[in-house]
Amino acid sequence: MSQNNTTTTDTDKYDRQLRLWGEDGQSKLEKSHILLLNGNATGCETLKNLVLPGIGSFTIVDNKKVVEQDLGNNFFVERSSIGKPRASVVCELLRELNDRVKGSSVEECPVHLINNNISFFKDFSLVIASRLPEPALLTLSQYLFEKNIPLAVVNSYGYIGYLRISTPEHQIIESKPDDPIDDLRIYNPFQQLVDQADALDLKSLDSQKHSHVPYVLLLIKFLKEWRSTHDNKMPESRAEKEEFKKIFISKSLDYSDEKNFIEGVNNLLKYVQPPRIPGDVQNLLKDAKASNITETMDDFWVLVSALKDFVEKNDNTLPLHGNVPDMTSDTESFIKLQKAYQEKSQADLTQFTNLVDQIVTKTGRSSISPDLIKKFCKNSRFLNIIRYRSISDEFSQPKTKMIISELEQQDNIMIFYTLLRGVDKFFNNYHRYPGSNDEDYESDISLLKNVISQFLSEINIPVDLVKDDYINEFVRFGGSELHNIASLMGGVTSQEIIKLVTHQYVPLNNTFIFNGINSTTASFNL
Amino acid sequence: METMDTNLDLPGRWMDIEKIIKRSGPFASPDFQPDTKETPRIMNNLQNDFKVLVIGAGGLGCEILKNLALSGFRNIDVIDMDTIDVSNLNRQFLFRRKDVGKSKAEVAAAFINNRITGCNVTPYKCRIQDKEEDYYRQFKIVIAGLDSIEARRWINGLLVNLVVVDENGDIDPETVIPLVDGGTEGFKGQARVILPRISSCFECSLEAFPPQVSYAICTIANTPRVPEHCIQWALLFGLQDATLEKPFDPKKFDNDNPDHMNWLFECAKKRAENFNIQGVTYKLTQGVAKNIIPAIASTNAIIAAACCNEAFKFCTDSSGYLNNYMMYNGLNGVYTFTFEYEMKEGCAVCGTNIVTVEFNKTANLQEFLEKITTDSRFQFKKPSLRANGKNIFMQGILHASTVPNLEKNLPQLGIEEGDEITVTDPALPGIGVRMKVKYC
Repeated sequence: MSQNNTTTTDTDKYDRQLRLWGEDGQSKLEKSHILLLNGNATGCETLKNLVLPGIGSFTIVDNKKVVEQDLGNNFFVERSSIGKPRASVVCELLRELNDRVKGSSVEECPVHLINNNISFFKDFSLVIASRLPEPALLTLSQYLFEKNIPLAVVNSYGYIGYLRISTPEHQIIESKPDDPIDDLRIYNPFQQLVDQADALDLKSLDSQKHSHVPYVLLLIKFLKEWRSTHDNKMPESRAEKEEFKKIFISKSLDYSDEKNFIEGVNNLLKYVQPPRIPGDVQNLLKDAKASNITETMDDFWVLVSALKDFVEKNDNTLPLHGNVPDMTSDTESFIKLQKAYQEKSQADLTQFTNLVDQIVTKTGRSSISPDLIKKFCKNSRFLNIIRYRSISDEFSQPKTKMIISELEQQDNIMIFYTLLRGVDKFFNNYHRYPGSNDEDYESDISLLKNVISQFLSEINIPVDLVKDDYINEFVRFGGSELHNIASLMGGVTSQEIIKLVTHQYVPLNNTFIFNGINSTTASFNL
Repeated sequence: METMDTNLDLPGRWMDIEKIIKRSGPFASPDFQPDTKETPRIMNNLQNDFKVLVIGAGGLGCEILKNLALSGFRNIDVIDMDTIDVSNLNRQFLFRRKDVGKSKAEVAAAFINNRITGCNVTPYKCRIQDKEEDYYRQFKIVIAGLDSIEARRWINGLLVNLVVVDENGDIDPETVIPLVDGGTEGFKGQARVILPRISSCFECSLEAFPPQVSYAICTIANTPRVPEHCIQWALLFGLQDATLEKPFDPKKFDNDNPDHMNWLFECAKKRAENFNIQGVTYKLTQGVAKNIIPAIASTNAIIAAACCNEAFKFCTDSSGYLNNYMMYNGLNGVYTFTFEYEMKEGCAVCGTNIVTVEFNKTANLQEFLEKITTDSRFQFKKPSLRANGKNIFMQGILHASTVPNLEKNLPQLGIEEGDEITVTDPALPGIGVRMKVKYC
């Protein structure tokens, strides 16, 4: 077979996902050890979508025994499991999904473990908690925040789903935006591009060749001509760009028939504008950490610091990625153009690597792998960092203003946040979910109403913003975990965990709520 | 274990669902009547009376079957003609390595029936087109987890056609079978609910799925620039080239045969070397040749669950509903957009209006056919045309008799401005699209 034989992963089985996060992402997944607190439907559905793509290992902590109710919403129990420890039953059936993944179970109460043996949590890559009572959740989240271990809190409650991510700092090198604009330097061409454009002698070309000159070179050439008659300035205003467009079209032999000219016009507005460093990257460069590299910092910050030096030395321009999208062209011109970009990109990488080495030497750190330097350099336009607000800050210093302004809008999903918080407080007071017994159904409505009123007044939110209908609906839910909602939240949560573990794509910051009543969602930074 | 009565449910098993269906709620449908201990109507419907059809037993299908079984449904049919491939195993969680090569529908059904006591999934290893129209009448709701536009159009057209409309234009609600349709691609997906003839149908939004982009043949033949062009060349020209030695019969080229794929890869690589093009890999060759779309467990879970949540709510009346399209994108945070796709006036399938087609009076029928097959509103595959009671252009046995018409213009075929042409096409079962001709 001609497939890459140096890899250790199962490339056939994982083909459809490797096309998204690559071998690098896969190897990060395979090194991860994920902990789940409570093997309920939501927790198991989350783990299912992590075991399938092949995390390294997982552990489940749960002290419950499998009961009839589990058979009604959890796929990872069987009729014969009733009475057996839920942790080991679901562990076994989840493990069976992928023979490359290791699983283990701990038959212990998650709350007890948090209160008595918090250091148990220190070695996991990430922790998933479902239906964890508020005080234990706070203790755990503070501990994990200090240890720099990401936490995903996920709950399904009737028709509503909730996910909260928390980790102090999440670094992303490959944010992989949906439709990135290629860095083609049409506005600020490097020397090789200028040379290629200058060398064009369009008049000498026959119509076939004329219609196969890459539009990038056409734009660079005619922009240079424009500057020579416009005080060395680029077309900036709308009117100027319109005028340039007319001139550009006039240079074609037959505009309707020359695809390269059509592509030039279609890409004119996109590329004829001053280069700009994306906001997320600018923020990173400005970050205090980037100007004060110490021995103990992550390599990421060394690389950011080197990037800062690079940008200062290169007229505020990031290193070139080097990718050239396909465009109408003859083979030879395209390959020549591609080569120019690749050479420039390589030169930028060499310069960047030198800058990294200088910092490494100066600070007495160990060297950084060339692969990481290259990946960082090539993706410098797509860097990102997320600093999450801690759950304890969310609880002790709520963003009251933001919550109120959301609640004031009709049918806003924020309403479910206040209700879910209320339900957790209800559980704390009464050790059951509102409406969980038919006998207490009516009285629970007023109890929940009181709990929520008290909670809202504590955080200075007008009580009347939470309408009775919603309170009634939440008591109706009675703490139920519907499989569809559990499965949806398991999907969302596993996806965010994959982003966190692989450091690819941009994860949720920080709260996601699914409203299964009409299938709408919202994300909040709480 | 085998001796247990599988029809008898353990008490408390459906406690979570019962909270919802036994208690009234402010957001439930006006038709909602909560179950009581004496008359558990909704539970009866779910477990005994309602039959659900699942189309596709792949990434979405596996999830859909699990979700329905754990929503209390017991009578489920699943149709899928495919067999299991090793590359399915990263998400199609009802299959194991030992199942590779077996029928997806059959293995999935057996797994669910074994795991979920009382659930009865019946598999059909066939194409949806192989089933009679009557077969589809038995279902309360249809959930589709397909990766093909063609199959979606077909089932959509069929379900629209099943709706009985009387002479006053009133719809018989008993004949409306909702279609819940899900689709995914990498980190993106969509879930939608189609109430045939009541809300927008799949065909109403066909323009949102433009025909696949293909590379210009002359680029592939003459000016290749990127590795994909070289792979396309190997597929289109290399396979046909008798001078190139092949370890297999080129007429029997098989995407799934590693030896064939390896030959294709080597062929594309040589082509690339001749043109100094870099980047042809085995993986890319596979991707281009098989038109591989990335697929992951998480996105399938999200979309399938959104679809099944709608099916459950529709069958229980216990809540609100999705109106009627949710698009989802998980690349940057978790983003969804829920909106109402409106019925398209003049929709070829569910529209009551006749579509007007502008056409040059002097152009011939051949050009007219090209126009309607490439029009993104119709995307006909093999259309047959009738006008003023005459066959204008036919497929099948009448085909030969109508071929001479291709050279004629429409007035020569007796079609005047304002006349109606009825077009039928295998993509749209049982539906005749009525086109009014306007000359320009």
